[in-house]
Amino acid sequence: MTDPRQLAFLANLPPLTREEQDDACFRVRDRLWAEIGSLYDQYEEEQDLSYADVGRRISRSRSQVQRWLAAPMNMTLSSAGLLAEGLDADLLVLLQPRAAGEPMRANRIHPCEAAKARVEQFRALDERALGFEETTPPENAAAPTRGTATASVIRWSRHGPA
Amino acid sequence: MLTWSQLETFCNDGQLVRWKAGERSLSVGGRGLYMLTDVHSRFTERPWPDASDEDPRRTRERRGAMRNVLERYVKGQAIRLNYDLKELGTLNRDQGMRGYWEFRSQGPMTETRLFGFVPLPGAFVATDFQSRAEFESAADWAAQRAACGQRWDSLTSGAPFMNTPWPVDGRSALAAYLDRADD
Repeated sequence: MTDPRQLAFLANLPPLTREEQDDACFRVRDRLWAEIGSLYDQYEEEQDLSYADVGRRISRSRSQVQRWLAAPMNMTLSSAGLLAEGLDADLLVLLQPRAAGEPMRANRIHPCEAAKARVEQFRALDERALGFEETTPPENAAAPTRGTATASVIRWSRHGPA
Repeated sequence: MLTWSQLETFCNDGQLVRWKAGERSLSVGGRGLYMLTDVHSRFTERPWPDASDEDPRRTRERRGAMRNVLERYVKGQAIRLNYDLKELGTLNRDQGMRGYWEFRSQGPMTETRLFGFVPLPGAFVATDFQSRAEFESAADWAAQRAACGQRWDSLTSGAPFMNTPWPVDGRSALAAYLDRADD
C-alpha cells in the first residue's frame, strides 16, 4: 500500500484548470506530430523523401501519410508508431518528474537576463541612495518551487539522436 | 534590431506581455514570445475568433492546438516550417511581406493565426491574432500586414525586425530565426 505521505507533494499542488487539462490531453498528439513531422521534413529536404516512399514502406497510401503529417489532430498513437517505423526511427518516451525544489521555469529566463535584472536592481538602489528617480527592475528569474512531471518525446533516427 | 533588455522593458512598461507556457512545466533552451497587451488579452480571454457557432469542444481543442504550438516554441522544441510557423513573404517572393510571420494552428477545426515579427533570433513579437477565415484575398493579407506594421512601428519607433536570411524555405533558414541569440 502506498504511503500517503509519499503523495503529499500532489496534495500541495492546485488541481489542473480546464485549459491545463485540455493542453495536457492534446500534448501527446502534438509532440508526436511535431517530432515525426520534423524528421520527415529533414529527410524530405536532404534526401527527397516523399509521402509515397513512406507509404510504400508501411503499406499505406500516399494521401494517408500526407494526412497524418498535415496536422496534430490527425495523429494517433498507432499512426505515430507506424510513421516512426516507416522512417526507420526509434521512438523513445521520456517522462521527466519535476523534482521538488526545482525552480519553476514556466518561461526560461536566460542567465544573461537574470544578471542584467540584478544589475538593474543594484543600479536602482544606487540611484535611490543618490536621490535619483527609482527605476523598476525587470521581472526576476527567481520563481517558486514545484514538484510534478513533464513529458516529452525524444526522436532517434538511424544516425542517432536528432 | 531590438535587444532582450528592450523587450523586457516593453513588458515592464505594460506594452508587451511575455507569454508563459503553463505554470509548472519545465522550459529548457526557451525562446521568448511576446504579445502586444491587447493581443494577449484576446488570446487568453474568451471568446476566440469564430467560436460563436462552433461546438465548444472544438473550440477547446483549437485553443489547445495553438497553445501547444506556442509552448513548443518557448520551450525550444521542434517547430515545423510552414506548418507551425510561416514567413509570409517566402511563397510568392513578396518583398512587401518579407519578415512578417504567422504562428498557425492546424485544422480540421477553424484555424487561427498569430501574426508578428522577429525582433532578434529566438524572439517573437505578436501584433495580431485572427481567425484564418478572415482572409480571403491578397488585399486582406496586405491590409493585415500594413496594420501589423503600424503596430510594430508604434511599439518600437520603427526599429528594424529580422528579415534575413530570406526566403525562408528550409530548415537552416528557419533556424536562423529560431536559435536564440543573447544581447
